[in-house]
Formats: sequence, C-alpha cells, structure tokens
Amino acid sequence: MRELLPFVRLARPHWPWLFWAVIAGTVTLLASIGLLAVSGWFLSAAALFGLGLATSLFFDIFTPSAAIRGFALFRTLGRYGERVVAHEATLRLLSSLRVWLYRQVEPQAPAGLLRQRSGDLLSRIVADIDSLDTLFIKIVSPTLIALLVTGVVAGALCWLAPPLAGVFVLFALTAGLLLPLVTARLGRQVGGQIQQKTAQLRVQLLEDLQGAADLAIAGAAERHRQCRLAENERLLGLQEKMARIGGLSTALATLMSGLAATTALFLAIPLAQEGRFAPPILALVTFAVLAAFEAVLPLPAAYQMLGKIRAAARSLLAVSEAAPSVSFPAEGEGVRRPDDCTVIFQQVSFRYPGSSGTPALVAVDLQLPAHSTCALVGRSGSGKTTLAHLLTRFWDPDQGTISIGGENIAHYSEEELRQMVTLVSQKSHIFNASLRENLLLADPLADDHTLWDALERAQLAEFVARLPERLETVAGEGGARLSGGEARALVLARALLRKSPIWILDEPTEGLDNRSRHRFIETLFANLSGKSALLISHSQEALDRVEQICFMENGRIVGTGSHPELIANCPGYRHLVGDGRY
Amino acid sequence: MKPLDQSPGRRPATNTSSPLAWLRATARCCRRWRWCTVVLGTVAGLCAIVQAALFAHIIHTAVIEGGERSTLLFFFGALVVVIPLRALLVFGREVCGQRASSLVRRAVRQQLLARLAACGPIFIKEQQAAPLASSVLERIEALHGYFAHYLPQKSLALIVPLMIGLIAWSISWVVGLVFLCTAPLIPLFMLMIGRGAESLSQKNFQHLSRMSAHFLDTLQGLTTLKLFSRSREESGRLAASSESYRRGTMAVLRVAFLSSAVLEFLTAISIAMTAVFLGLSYLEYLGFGLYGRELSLATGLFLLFLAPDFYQPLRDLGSQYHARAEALGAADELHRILFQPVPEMPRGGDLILPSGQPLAVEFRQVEYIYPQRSSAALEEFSLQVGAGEWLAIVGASGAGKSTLLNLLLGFLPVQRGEILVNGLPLSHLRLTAWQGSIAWVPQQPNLFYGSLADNISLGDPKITAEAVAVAAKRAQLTDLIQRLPAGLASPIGEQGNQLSGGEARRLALARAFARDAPLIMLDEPTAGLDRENERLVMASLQQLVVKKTVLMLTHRLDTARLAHRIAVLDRGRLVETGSHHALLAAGGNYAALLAAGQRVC
Repeated sequence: MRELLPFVRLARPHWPWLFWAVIAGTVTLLASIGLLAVSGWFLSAAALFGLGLATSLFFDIFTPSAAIRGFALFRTLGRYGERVVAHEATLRLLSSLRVWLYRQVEPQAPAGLLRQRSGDLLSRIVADIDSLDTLFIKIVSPTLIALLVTGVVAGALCWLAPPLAGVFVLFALTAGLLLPLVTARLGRQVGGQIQQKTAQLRVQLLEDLQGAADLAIAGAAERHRQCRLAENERLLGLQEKMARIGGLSTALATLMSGLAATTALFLAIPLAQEGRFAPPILALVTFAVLAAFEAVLPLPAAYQMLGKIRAAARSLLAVSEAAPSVSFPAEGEGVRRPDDCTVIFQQVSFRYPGSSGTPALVAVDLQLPAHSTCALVGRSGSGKTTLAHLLTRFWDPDQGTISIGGENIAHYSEEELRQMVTLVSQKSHIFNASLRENLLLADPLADDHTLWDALERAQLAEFVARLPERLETVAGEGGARLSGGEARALVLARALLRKSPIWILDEPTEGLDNRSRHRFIETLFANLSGKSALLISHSQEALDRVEQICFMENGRIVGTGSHPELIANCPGYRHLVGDGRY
Repeated sequence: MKPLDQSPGRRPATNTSSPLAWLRATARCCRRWRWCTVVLGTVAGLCAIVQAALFAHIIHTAVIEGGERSTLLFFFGALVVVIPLRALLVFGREVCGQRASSLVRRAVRQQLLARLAACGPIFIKEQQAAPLASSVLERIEALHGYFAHYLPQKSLALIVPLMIGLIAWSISWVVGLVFLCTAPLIPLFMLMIGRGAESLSQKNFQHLSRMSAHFLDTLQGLTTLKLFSRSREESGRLAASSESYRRGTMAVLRVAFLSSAVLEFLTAISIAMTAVFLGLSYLEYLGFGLYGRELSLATGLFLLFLAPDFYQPLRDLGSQYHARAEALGAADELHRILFQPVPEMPRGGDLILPSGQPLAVEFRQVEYIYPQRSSAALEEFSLQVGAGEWLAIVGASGAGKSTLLNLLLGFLPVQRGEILVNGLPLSHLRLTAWQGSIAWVPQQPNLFYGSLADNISLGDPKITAEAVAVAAKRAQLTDLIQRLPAGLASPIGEQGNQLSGGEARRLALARAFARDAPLIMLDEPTAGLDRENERLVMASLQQLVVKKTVLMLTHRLDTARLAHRIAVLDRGRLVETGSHHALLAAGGNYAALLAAGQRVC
C-alpha cells in the first residue's frame, strides 16, 4: 500500500473537497438509516398507544413526523451533494495528477521517453492516471463513509445495549473487511489468468488479422479461426469462474446483512422485555441494522479494484522517478550565442544508457562550417540519428566534445541551444490543435503576416488559404487531417519561424511519395540559405545538393566527400546508395 | 449514431438496421439464461417480501403481545432459512447473467470472425488490423454488462415493484397510491432515469476521454515542445485546459445528477408518507384507506419494510445504465463491421485442378477499377505465363503490380476480362483449392503466435515434422534453428524470439518449400536485405523455383534479370515483355528504367 502514499499526499490540496464528499455521503446514509429506523419506531409506538397499551396519556406525533420529513430531505440533498462534490473532487484531482506527472516527465524528455517508451506506453500512462483517479471516489471515500456510518450506528446501539453493537460490528466487519479479503485472495489467481489469456488472445488476433492474406493462401485461415474460438472458450470459462467468485461475495454480503438484523432482533427481544428499553425500540434496531449495511455492501466490489489501482500507482511512480539524462546551465548563466555557428564533433563516443551491445557512436569527428550543408548516410542503426540527437543534447556524449562556435554545447542554456538548433524529423509532433497554435509553438509572438510568410515559404500557404477555417483549422490527432506532404510542410513552416542558424533534418521525407518528396526537398533547399544543415536522408536529390556527405557504418564515419567521390572511393556507400536503394 | 429505435418488439428478430436493433436481435440467443436470471431475481424479490413479513411478525408479537422469544423460535428459524435462500438466489442470478453474456459474446465473436474471413484480406488491410482486433476483443467484451446485468434488471425493475405495489394496494389503497404516485407509472420513470443516466454517462465519458486525449497528445508531443523550449509553459496550459474541461463537465453533471436526486427524493418521500400515514392510522387520526380493516402493527411494519425494496430495482437499473451506454457504443462499431456493404469478393466455383500438374496462367483483357477511383488500376491486361516459366513483373509503385497479385490470389474479383488457369477460368475454380496450389512469399511475411515449426507448417496437418525440418533446411534457416534455444520448437514473434528481416523472408521461403505448390508468387524477394541475406535468399530461391511456375513482382531490375522473361507494367498497362537482353536491346520502357539509373527508389 506504500505506493499509494505519494498520491494521497498529492491529493492534499483537494482534501477539503474529499472531506465534504465523505461528510455528504455519511449524512445521506445516516439520514436513510434514520428515516427507516425512526419510522419503524414511530409505527410501533403509535400502534401501542393506539391500542391503549402505552403508559403515557399523550402521544407526541410532531417530533417523529418532523424527524421523518427532515431525514427524507437530508437524504435527498445529501445524495445530490455527495455526487456533485465527489465528482468535483475527482476532476480536480485528475487535473493535478496530470500536471504532476507532466512536471515529473518533462525534465526527462526527450531521452527518457524516446528510447524506452513507445506510444503504447504513453497511452498506458494516461490510462494509469485515469484509474488512479478512482482511488478516492471508489475506495477511500466509501471506506471512510462505511467507517463513519458503522461507528455512529454502533455507538447508538451501544448506548441502547452493548451486545447489540457487538453483533452489528461483528457482521459489518465480516461483510466489509473479511469478505473482501477472502474474495480478493480467491480471485487473484483467476484474475491473473484472465488478464494473461486476454493479452494472449489480443496478440493472436492481431497477428491473424495482419497476416490474413498469408493465412488465406496457406489455407490456414479456418484452422486459425477455430484455434482462436477455442482460446475464447477458455477465456469465457475463466470469466465464469470469476463471476462465481464475485457472485459468492455479493451473496455472502446479503447474507451478512440479513443475519445481522436477525441476530440483533433475537438478542434485543429479551432485553426489551427485561425493560432495558421500550418495546418499540425493537423495530428501530432492526431497521437501523438492515439499513446500515448499505454502507458496507459496496466495499467488496471496491476492493476488487485495489489491485489495479496499486499497479497503476507503481508504474506511475517508476515513470516519475527516472532521472533526467542531461542538465542545462540555469537561464542567464549560459554562454551567449556566438556569431559563427560552426559545429564541431570531436572524438565523440556514445553508448545508450542501459544497452550492453555495441556503442552507438565511436570516436566521431565531424565539422559543419557555418552556412554549409552536410548529409549523413548509413544503414539504420549506423548512428545517424544518435549523432543528431547528441547535437540537440537529448543525451551527452560519453567521451569527446561537441561545440558550436567554439563553445561546448553543454555551456549553453537550454533556451539558447534550442534557439540555435532546430530539429525537423518525421517524428515532429503535430498537435491536435489549430494550425495557428501549431505554428505559434515556434514563435509565440508571431503575427499573422509572419505566419503566412512562413507558410508561403513552406509552399503550404495556398493549401491553408483554401481551407474554410484557414489558420484556425484543427490539425486532428497527430495531424490526421493533413496529408503526409502537408504535415511535413507544416513542420517545415514551423521550423522556419524559429530562424535558427543550425537545422537538423532527420529523414524529413521518409514515408512521402515521390512527388511530395521532390517538392519537399525543393522547398527545403530554397530555404536553407544562410543556415547550416545536417541532413539525414537517402534521397538522391538531396545527396546531389549537399556540400558534404558523411557515410556512417556501425557508429563510425567511414567516408566523407561528395556523392561522386564516395561512389568512387567508398564501397559501402556505393552498395547502399549506388543501386538507388538502401 | 442513428436515432434510437424506441419501439421494441416491432420486428426484433431480423431487424439489424441499427446498432440497437442488432443488439436486441442478438439478445435472442441468450433468452433462456436471461429469463433464468429474471426468474431468480423475481424469486429473490419474493424472498425479500417473506423476510419483511417475518421481521414484521416477530416485532409485532414482541411489542404488542409481549410474546417471549421462545415462542418466536419458529419464525426466527424461518428467517434463517429465507435469508440464505435469498443469498443463494443472488449468487445464482450472477452466474446465470454471466452465462447469458458468455453466450452472446461467443456468438458475436464467431459472427465477427466469420464476417472478417468473408470480407477477405483486402478489407482487413483497409480497415487496419489493430482496430479490428480491438473490436473482436475489447468491443465485444464491452457488451458484457448489458446482457449480464442491464437487460435482466430492466425486466426486474418492472416485475418486483409491480409485485410489491400489488401487495401494498391489497392492504391499503393509500399506501398503494403513495407507491404508485411516487413512481408515476414505471415506464415514465425508466425513461426519466434513462434520459438522465444516458446523457450523464455519455457526456461524462466524452469529457473524460477528451481530457485524456489532450493529455496524451501533450505527452506525445513532449519532444517537440522541448525542442521549441515550450515544454515548461505547457504544464500551465495543461492545468488550464484540465480546469476548463472540469468546469464544462461539472456544469453538465450538476444538471444530470438531478435525475438521481429525484429518484432519491421519491424513495425517501414515499417511506416518509407511508410511515406518517400508518402512524396516524394507529393513532386513529385517519379512518380511511384500509378497506375498513383493522391495521395490525405487523401489517404496518411489513409495508414499511417493503417501501425501500419497491425502489431498489429501479435504483439498480439506474446504476447499470452505463453498461447500456458502453454496449451501445461498442455495438455501433460492431454493427458497422458486420453490416456495412463491402466490395464484392470473388466467390469461386466448384472446379478443382488435378494436383501435381504444372500450371499455366493466362490473363485476357483483364481490367480492374477500385471503387471510388476513376482511373483503372489494371487495363486491357493480357499476358501468358507458361507452365514452369519464371516471369518477372516490373514497374514503378502504382503501376498495378499489387492489383495483379491480388486478382490472381483471389482477393479481388475480376471485373472485366478473364484469368485462365490451364485453360479454365479462375472464377470457376474452388477458391480454397486454387489458393492451395499457390505458394506466396510476401515482402513482409507475417509471423504468428507459436513456434518456428508452427510458423512454417501454419498448422497444416498434412505437413509432417520431417517436412518442416527439410523445408527449414532448404530455406537456409539452419543457423537460426541452431541459435534458438529450443530449435524449431522455439516460440517466435511478438511473444518470443524476434527475427530479423532476412530471417523472416527465409521463413516465408520455408513455408513455400513445405507447401510444394505448383505456382509460386514472389513479392520483392530481396528488397531491404543486406548482402549476406540476399545471397542466402537467392540461393534457396533457385532451389524453390525448379519445375514451378513463378510470378515475381519487383522493381529492382537486378532481381528481374534472373527471370526467364520480364513483363513491364506502366500505369495499369502492359507495355513490354521479353528477356532482359531483348528488352535492353529494344530500347523501350525497360531500357529507360535501367538507364534512369538505378536512381529510382
């Protein structure tokens, strides 16, 4: 349970909301108990009086009927208040959880997120946050309410006769504590099996669907389908086992509530006849005990979620506790931006943290003079992207130095370095926001004229002008409403707004068709004047235009020169690029 | 989503025109278990009534008649029987509900998998495998609550209150009236909860998922934000947007929760009115509503015990409403996959080619236009491939190579013209038998859950373990088998050992060896391979093609050179055929492609 503590602390600003949610819930339940208990007592007392069996001459009907009306009102208001306040608390908590996680993750980015965490994992983080959010509304709050209500009812019963309180507490604890523990234990194994089976079925289905053509031709489609249906049978069998455990838990809880009332009544009758309390109290006790179980009954279901919530908490803590891979000098303490932006890699070596294999870069020397262009060519995994990422300080090199304008890049503040180096890659994210907001990321102060100018230069202005909502058009999830070429052009326009002296372009045309690629390269080079550019690409058009090509193999630069020179002198390059493919 | 059909029972059996109608039609297959659930729930309701009567009687005897506990032992005994019986019924209800849901999910899963099989690989590719897989799994799971809990509860919410209402009415028309007035006709009530709960859960869900999507978008774009040094400001923006979502959501919820508050109010007020009416009757302030009968304490308490039970089924229904919303959301998507019209699939005929014969294929004036596309993907395409011939089909991407492949594999129907196999039209051949005579080596072979051996035989019982071993050896997989811990029995793919691109390609070749089919189709057999793998693949390919008819798609001219004959496709038309040297000498399209240098990528 320790993993939940940080989140309980995180919720501290919202404790007032949670407090009021618990109070409202408790009031609702107590009012509901009071309503039935007082009604039961009122009926019994009135019946006794009506038959002339009562000792007093006057029967006060106003107090009980006012109490009954009051309880009814409180119950209604309490219920409404509880739901509103509990949801308010939940949403506030959700918001702070997200901001908290973002603040934890932000310093680790991009290194921490880039290598180990795929998009799938990010979705899981989001889902974890959502499920952790239910910790309070589904577990903490019902537990507290159950404790308070049980406490109050037990106190009242104790005042009447301690044995009654004892019986009530015994049954309530059995239903609210013992039962959840037992069913959780019973369900743990089956639950795990269900999860495993579901995951397995998911993978199998996905593989079968992805390979539908292979299976059809191999005549194996029907066989595979039958296998999946057989797996499905096993899953359904496990789920029915789980349903039996769940059903058992509900059934036993119902049993406890009935038995508690029966036992309480059984004990109370002699007490009433001994004169410990008036006979009408018998009805009050029975109704109160029955109604009080309403507080306890939701607990077994709540605790079934606890395992999931704890797992979510553990994985979020693991994410948040990872250390940032690089640190920057504080704002204002960094070196000022140089006039000459020559980039020099000196004997740079790097191995990804946690990787045991070969180093990603080995003693790389590279010079990119100001206003020059250089292409990095090599098979995937040869170290091109790593080289680019070191220049943006996603990581720091293990050995050697990287300098811009003669100054080690580690001495620049983050802001300064980001201003100097712009990275455009196929992974450049397009936010599901308006085109304007996407562009303003690069320069929050840009006016419309500047934005349109950048779009113009990226050859996108015509397209945007034709959109009905122009700059306010929402890009869609991951830029889904743009074609591949348009999305790249938008990323280019955004980069143009940065006015950085150094550009890194990491496979900017990957995944584009021939025409879009041609257009992109044309536009790109038209905008490169006055900038240095490090271009990772195999596009022939690009290779023809750059001033220098570095050919990389296994983390080393093994050849440098122009395209014809490398074709002539570098067999690896010839093989990779020469036949037009890689 | 289409507007909900609010008129059940009009044509429930066959009507699958809307997701809701389909859900209702589907519900028929689990009718028996659902009714079991309802019957158990009803009997449990009866038990609750008996329990109330017993409690009322015991209290009455103790309070009014001063009866000793020992005289009441029989009634306590009855309680100890009825209460466990009720618990048992609750248990049974849960189990039956699960059964009902299992039946439905099994049936829908079968239906969906059959549908996907019928729609064919092209449809699956267009729809994308991942969302389809999640439909088969998660979306069908989302139907659970609807069938296991919601539907039976819907019946119980009518039956149990009706039972209690009738009992109350028979004792006192005033109490009956109180129940009836506070629940002014249950259908109306249900509609009210329904509307409230529906808009509540839908809006709540929408808001929450929009908030989650925004958060995910921010996390995914964190690298980009960082590179524009905007990442720190973004945490403020995140807080602000969460805040505005919260405000929007709460505005909706505050109204939506009113419906549950109304239900709560009605429950409370009916208990209060019942209690006050009965109390005043005992005190003889009121002299009506009891059909002139004397009201005993037992009867009064009995009615009071029943009051909360009258509303409980309705409240349960309200709390299960989200299951309905969830199921409807899932049904929407499932219904779309099951019933949306898809392009026609080739149906095939009854003819079966004699096995063991070499195959000759002829295309006659074949044309194919994709739906919603104006220009033809393949046009006036005529070509003969002799038995035992190795033909390369060359062309830039988009020239129509894949269309040709899919027509021949039987994944697309021939729209115009004919494809003849050994002189018989392809459309007359039994599709599965025809596909059985093809060995296909795709560019990116798919691996399946299971061992390396399973992946070679693909579960075909006719392929023996020895045949698998031989095929693996001939496909140059020996080094891989030695590397894997359990050899051929090692699990591979997502759950096991990852294969490199070259190994996967050789695995596909092993599949082809194991099948020993007369027609081999190759798609870019060496694309993307390093030299070592290329050599291995080419070596085993040379063995595979002996005495077979081979169709090879490629846009690598150095690979095409290996074929006996080359056909050049350009924008859906056949422009040239001939041997490498003949085509080169002719100086046409092929020669131009070759000259353009190797530049084409």
